[in-house]
Amino acid sequence: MAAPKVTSSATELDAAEREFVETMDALQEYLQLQARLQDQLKKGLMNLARAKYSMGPIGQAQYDMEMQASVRVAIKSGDENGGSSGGGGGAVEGANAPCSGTRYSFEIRKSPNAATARRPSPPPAAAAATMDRAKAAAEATPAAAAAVAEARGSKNVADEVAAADSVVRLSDLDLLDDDDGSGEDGGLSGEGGKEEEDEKELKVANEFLRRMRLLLGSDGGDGGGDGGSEGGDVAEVEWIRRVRRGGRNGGGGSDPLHWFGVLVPPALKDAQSGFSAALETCLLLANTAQRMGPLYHATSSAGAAEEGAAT
Amino acid sequence: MAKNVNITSADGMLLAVLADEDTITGFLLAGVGNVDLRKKKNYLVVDSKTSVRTIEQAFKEFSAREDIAVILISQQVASQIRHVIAAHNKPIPSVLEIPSKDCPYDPSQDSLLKRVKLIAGFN
Repeated sequence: MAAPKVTSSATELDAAEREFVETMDALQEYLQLQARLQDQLKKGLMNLARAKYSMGPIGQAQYDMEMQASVRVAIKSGDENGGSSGGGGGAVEGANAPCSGTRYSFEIRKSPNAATARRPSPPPAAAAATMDRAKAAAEATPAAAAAVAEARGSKNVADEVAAADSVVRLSDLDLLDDDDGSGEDGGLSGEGGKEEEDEKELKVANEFLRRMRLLLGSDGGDGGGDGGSEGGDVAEVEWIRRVRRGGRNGGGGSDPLHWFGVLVPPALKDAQSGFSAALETCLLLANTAQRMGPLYHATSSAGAAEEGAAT
Repeated sequence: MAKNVNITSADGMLLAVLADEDTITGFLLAGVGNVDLRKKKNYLVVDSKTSVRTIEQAFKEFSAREDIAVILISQQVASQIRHVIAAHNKPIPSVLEIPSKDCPYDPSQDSLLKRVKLIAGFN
């Protein structure tokens, strides 16, 4: 009668001892990872200090208030005790049942599509003065042009835009002629990739001219014949304004480096890579910390087994 | 048999950070920062003017959010809200103490290691 109880308690004690040894190993690994993290953070902060020395203050004023995380964490639960921790909504169960013995592992997940999910946002308060001046000049140009058009008659400006457009179209035709194989230049006709790039640039330029005409049409009121539908024009104008306001945030993608200007010092890029490495170490630390969690359950179950053997 | 079940959404969960400005800037450069539609951030910049109550509220808010998987807190900040961290016993979000900018990492101050030491009887 007593023998099975002793056996089961011995088995439990063995399991507890194994878990204890594993926890001590995890503890040692935790301390080593903390030392590594400290080195990485130190290097990252040093590079950040160098970047501050180069470009001036770096801080909260430059943060994008509509930032989206490009690095996220995926959690996997590995239940060591054979029970199911569930999928999908299992996070809630695991979170509310700390004594379930469920271990979680964290994996880093970088999203390349954060840029597409980004909302158009106004630039940060401390945006570069040169960018603002350039934008203001660009915004002033159609307004000034519209004002001139109103003064002189809108036809002049529209003619100028049409002339520019025709120039663009002519150059487009030139390229097409080259495609037909004049072959004399050799370099241009032989490189299909370069021609494609030129065509893309021309398309962008054409698009820009079209939108400028729309702007003139909406600002001037009687400009050209391209008034079109008012709803579409308003949407177009709003889009252009958003892109202009968005600046590096709207067009530059999700890289937080763009918050600090177009040309950032190399030290800031080094700081970014240093902190990315530190982030991965943090997740390793979190995984190691999870492995230390079962110590609670091992000691509690061993204590219960000893009490059972004593009685 | 261990069953690995992915319990996060397709996008993944966030990391929260409570630390000094430079450390936060660094982690934001790494892509951790997120501000949602309600203007709620997943970070808190702690300086000399930040009150303990603010830090406590931020920590409690981060631990209550369901989209945060890991809370990174620098040791200097953690020492100000030790009692709140000790009361946190949920596995998710996981709380991780990281070295502060000004002070090196002290294992004797780490809540996790203190708890392990206490339970293992190393006092």
